[in-house]
Amino acid sequence: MSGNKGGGLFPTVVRADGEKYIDLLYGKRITTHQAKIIVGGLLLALIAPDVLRITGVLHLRILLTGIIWGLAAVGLNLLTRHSELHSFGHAAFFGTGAYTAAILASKFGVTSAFGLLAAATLVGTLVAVIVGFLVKRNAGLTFALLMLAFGQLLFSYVRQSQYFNFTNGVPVRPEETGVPLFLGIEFGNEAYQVVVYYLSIVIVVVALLITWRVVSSGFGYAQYAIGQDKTRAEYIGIDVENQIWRVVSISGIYCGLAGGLFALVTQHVLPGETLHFFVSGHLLFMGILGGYQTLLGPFVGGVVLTVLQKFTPQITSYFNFLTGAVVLVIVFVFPKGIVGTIQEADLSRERFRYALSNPSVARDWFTNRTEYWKQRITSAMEER
Amino acid sequence: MFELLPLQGIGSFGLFIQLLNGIMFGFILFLVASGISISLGVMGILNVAHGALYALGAFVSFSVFTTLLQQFTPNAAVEWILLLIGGALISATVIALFSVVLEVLFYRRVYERNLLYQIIMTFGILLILRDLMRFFWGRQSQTFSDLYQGINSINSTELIGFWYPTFNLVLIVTGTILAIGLFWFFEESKTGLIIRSIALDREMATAIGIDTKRNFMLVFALSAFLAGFAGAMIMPQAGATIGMGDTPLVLSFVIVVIGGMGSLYGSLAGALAVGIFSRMAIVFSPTLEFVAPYLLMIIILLYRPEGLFSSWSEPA
Repeated sequence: MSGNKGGGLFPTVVRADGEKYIDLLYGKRITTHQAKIIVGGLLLALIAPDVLRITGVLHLRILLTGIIWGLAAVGLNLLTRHSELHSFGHAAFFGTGAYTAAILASKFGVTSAFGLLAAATLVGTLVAVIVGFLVKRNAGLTFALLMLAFGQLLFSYVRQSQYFNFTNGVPVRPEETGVPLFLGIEFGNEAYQVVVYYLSIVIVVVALLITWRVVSSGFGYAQYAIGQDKTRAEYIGIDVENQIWRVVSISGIYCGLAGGLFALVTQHVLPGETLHFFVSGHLLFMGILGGYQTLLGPFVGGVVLTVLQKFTPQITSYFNFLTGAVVLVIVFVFPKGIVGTIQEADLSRERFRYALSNPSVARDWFTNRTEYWKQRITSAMEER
Repeated sequence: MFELLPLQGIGSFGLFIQLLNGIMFGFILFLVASGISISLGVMGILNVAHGALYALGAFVSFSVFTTLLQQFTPNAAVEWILLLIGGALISATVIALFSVVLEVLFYRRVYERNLLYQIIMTFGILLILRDLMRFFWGRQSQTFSDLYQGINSINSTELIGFWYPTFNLVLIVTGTILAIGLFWFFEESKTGLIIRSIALDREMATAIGIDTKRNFMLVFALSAFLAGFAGAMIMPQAGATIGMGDTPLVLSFVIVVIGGMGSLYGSLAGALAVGIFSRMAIVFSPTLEFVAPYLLMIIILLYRPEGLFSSWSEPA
């Protein structure tokens, strides 16, 4: 899926290699199977608010928070997937975005929701640019260390600052209206959530498309080279430091935007929820849970983890333990994450269909399952 | 967080008090940071759960001190000190044994894997440890003022000429002894030199017949022992809270950056620097206390990114 084979902005059906493809975005191709999944997913996303309202299984707010975290995780994954830069501090950008929106709303009376979002993204990216500049010379362990330190620096500062209201957090309620306005319209509580939901869906779709494009561009390949071997990348002419700086800044855009959305949704920003390094750890884990080598993975991971965490308090109050256990299961048994494992399993789907149509091999297929699982666990140990 | 006695003084005497506070804080940080430094230098693993081991040390020591006080009732102040140190040693050993279990079950399997999985696994362990602590000791923080007051009953004005909590003095002395012990271990003792050789060149070490598996276990247990000991020692004063390990963890990272990634001397220098700097900064502005270590780190990053000292395998 590389190179520009023509095509335009809108999807067109294309025949190549004897298979049917759908052409998206100037030559990026997806198979019909993937297209079906995407359309299905979009439809599901569109009707989700009504489904949730009718079935009452989840609050829309939980799904919405999950989507927002998914967006931030997609941004973080830019670093994890290609550059092998493991950042344990991205909560800093997320929290900056959230706090910017909150401060602007409460202390400066900004009422426009879009204005809050824009400001959140801007300031979040700014912080990412500064932090990126400070860490760009490092990679690997030092990078993770430093990002954690910077994240915690912001957390400590905000937590003991009177301006940011210590640990009580800052509400996102402009004085005049009490609720941020979309294009000047004030929405009631439920309608507000739905509006933010659809806005987030649109933002996420656009963000995913942009990420897809970025990842398979020259910039993306440079990141990949840096991830494989920094020294070699330097020697073939890639300006490693500046590329690292750039990718951190770009991921800051996603996180800052997600932070702003988060502020709009929760309407009250707390330091423990947005800036603590636990948040960074969860962000990183979302990427792995979903499958950090895939595009959709982090997003799926974000939604799943958030729903899991908001759901478990009904069963047990030890949701940290549960999350930790899930982490261990993923690390040792399913290192490819949800989407990654599903992609892998696709191959066995072919064999399953084949087995169905040929009863003589069906028995072999079943007996192979235990082998498959044994092999999965051993190969997970050797996963690099 | 560390809740020191309100000794915020103004003027040079107050500054001196904060210097002493800083040294004490620095030694506690050194114990935690050296654990991070050696597990990082020898095994290359960034143990995010290290702060939880420190907190676990504090909680375990709470139970240990309670049990000990049911058996013995110290009369003289010296007996209080013995109780403190003995209890701390017991707690630290418990933590070390627990960490061996963790190492065998989990850490051992990720040494060869991608850094990402290492970090995220230690993060998972951290989450589990947090809820374990909550499960066994409850949400409330535990304090142990008896022990603290007991030690402070020694009138330190007789010893050093002015009043300063004896407890802090005990901590400083113990910290110094431990630091000297650590340096001796890594420079003179055979095991210490073996560990350093693994840190210097792992392949070569295995080639000359060193069993890395056992030494990794030893290093991990040692780092956990130090963290548990630190948690136990500070518990009578600061209490035991589930989240108390977060700040020392992050400060350990800052210290490792400042001092140099693989150097034990660097960890000591960095820890003392961070401790003293942050405590003395209280005198000028309370905000500065939290921000000071990070500022120090940023300065070091900009002007000497490899840290103050060089590598761990050569202590100089």
